[in-house]
Amino acid sequence: MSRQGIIGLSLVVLLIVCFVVNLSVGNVHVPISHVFGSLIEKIGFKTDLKITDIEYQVVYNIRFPRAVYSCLIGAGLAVSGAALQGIFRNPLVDSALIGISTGASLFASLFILFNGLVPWLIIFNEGLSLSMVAFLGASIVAFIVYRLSLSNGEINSLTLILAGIALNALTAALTGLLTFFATDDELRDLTFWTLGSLGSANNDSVWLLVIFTLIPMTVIFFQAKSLNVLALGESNAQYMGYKVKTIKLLVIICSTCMVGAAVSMAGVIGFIGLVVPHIIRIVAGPNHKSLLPLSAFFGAILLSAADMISRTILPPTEVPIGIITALMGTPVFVAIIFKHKRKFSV
Amino acid sequence: MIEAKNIAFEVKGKQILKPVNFRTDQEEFIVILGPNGAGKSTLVKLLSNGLRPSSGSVSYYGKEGKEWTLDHLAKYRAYMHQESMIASSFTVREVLEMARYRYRETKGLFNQMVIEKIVDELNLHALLDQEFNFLSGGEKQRVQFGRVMLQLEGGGEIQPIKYLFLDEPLNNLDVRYQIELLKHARKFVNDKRGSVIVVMHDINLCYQYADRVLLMQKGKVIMDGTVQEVMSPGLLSETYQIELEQIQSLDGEVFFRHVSYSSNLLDQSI
Repeated sequence: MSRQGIIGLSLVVLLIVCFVVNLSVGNVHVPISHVFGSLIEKIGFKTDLKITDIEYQVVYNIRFPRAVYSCLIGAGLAVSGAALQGIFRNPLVDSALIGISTGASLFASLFILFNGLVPWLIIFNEGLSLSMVAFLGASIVAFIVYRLSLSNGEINSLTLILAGIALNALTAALTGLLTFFATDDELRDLTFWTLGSLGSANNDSVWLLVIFTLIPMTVIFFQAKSLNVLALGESNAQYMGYKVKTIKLLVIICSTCMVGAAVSMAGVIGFIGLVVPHIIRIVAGPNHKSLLPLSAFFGAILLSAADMISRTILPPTEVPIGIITALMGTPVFVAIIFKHKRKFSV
Repeated sequence: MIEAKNIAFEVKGKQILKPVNFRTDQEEFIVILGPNGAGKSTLVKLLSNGLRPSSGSVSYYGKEGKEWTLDHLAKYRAYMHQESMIASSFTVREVLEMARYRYRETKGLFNQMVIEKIVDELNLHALLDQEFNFLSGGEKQRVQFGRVMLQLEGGGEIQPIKYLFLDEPLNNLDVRYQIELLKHARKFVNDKRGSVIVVMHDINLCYQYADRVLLMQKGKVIMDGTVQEVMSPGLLSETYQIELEQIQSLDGEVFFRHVSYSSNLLDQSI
């Protein structure tokens, strides 16, 4: 079995462990056997375990969607990070840099502050509407950044990153401005949003996240070879028969979908998209055929672990997950940079 | 067969390449020669469909460039850039494999066989598992040369003439590898695997290896013909605006040198 295969298998096992542990730990401790029991009973089988209604509710209605959220969001952020780094041939790019995350936060903030004024916005329920609006914001800002980066109909990677930085600054300033008009309650919501939280996870909207993560992720997986060839440079890729423009556009759209969905459901969660692909590249090599799926697994594991920590470190309160990922991510990232200085010669 | 009809190229009203016709329909080693800024790189990019001409058209085997899909044309012509830096830590083997991604129908065994063949031919064995970016400039150049050769390596059936475009491939190479690369390119032509169209600066190497020379100056092809026709000391001196003379060594080898170079030496020695 190849090195990548072994790493992949270990990551899958680790992911399953994280997932199950996530269902078990928390303010109400549910034994592992009861975790399995309640999921099995949900499907319709009977078990001999005496699972209390509370345990069932906690596992199935609260923790299960949350665990699924953390897997999908972690995987989505990591894969979009890997793919964006691939098309821009720049290891410092991630979804935050091209405006997706801040666009979502700006629109989410607007929604939190003004949803009372426009009641017709609340189509489904407040949570879902918030997500929709945030997704819209992510798409709008990503689109503006994309348009700004076009020169002669082609995406200029440097301009795209610069435009991303500029729009990030603008949207961050506007979001900051909004906090002046917020009441204390709204401010709390805003803070939670900008620091990330999986607290809104529920079984009703989990399918939205599944669709918006898994479909674009599959599309990106099919671009693995193209992303490899792009490492040789855009011109070389073109000469080798690849439609560079199409590939870039496809990756940007898919990333916007995945990250937009992630941010709209859980707020801004940093560092996963930046750090995960780097770690995978170091342990399993730069080939996107393995980099993309391994990043998905590892991203899912990291966010699951971060969620576990955020729920258990200061009970009964919950530390925003964005803080945990940044606290975990930064030292790891700095360590990687120092250890592999030479590898960053782009 | 490549045929360019009246191709010209301009950027923001500035004419980089004046209208030129070009045609090649047999295996030949073509060198594009000329001073810096003459438009040589632009011409190879236009001929290889890497750039669209501002006017005129280029056709491959009778079909215009824009009618080809990138994917399809990639099997008939390859292009090697001057600079070769890649993102990420791909190994040489991985870089070579990328040239075969497009050959889905000949997956696996055949691709491995072809890679093995080119690696043998270019003597790249020792480099295979090294990281591309850690190679020396010359080694990178050799690997890239292997990659473009691999891109053109077809299946068993009779293949049309393929085209290998090389833009200043001798940069960074020491004398030995300059000559080795040119020998491999020459062999590619002699084995009837295809034509080589190369931009280079060394007049003497050009004289030794080329069949046909396109001499360019200020965005214009001033002469297109055999080595004997084009490479006269008079025309070269005029084109490069430096006095060149042709010398024949005792064993009949012909080479060019700068006239005042020798006279300077004489002056100093007196």
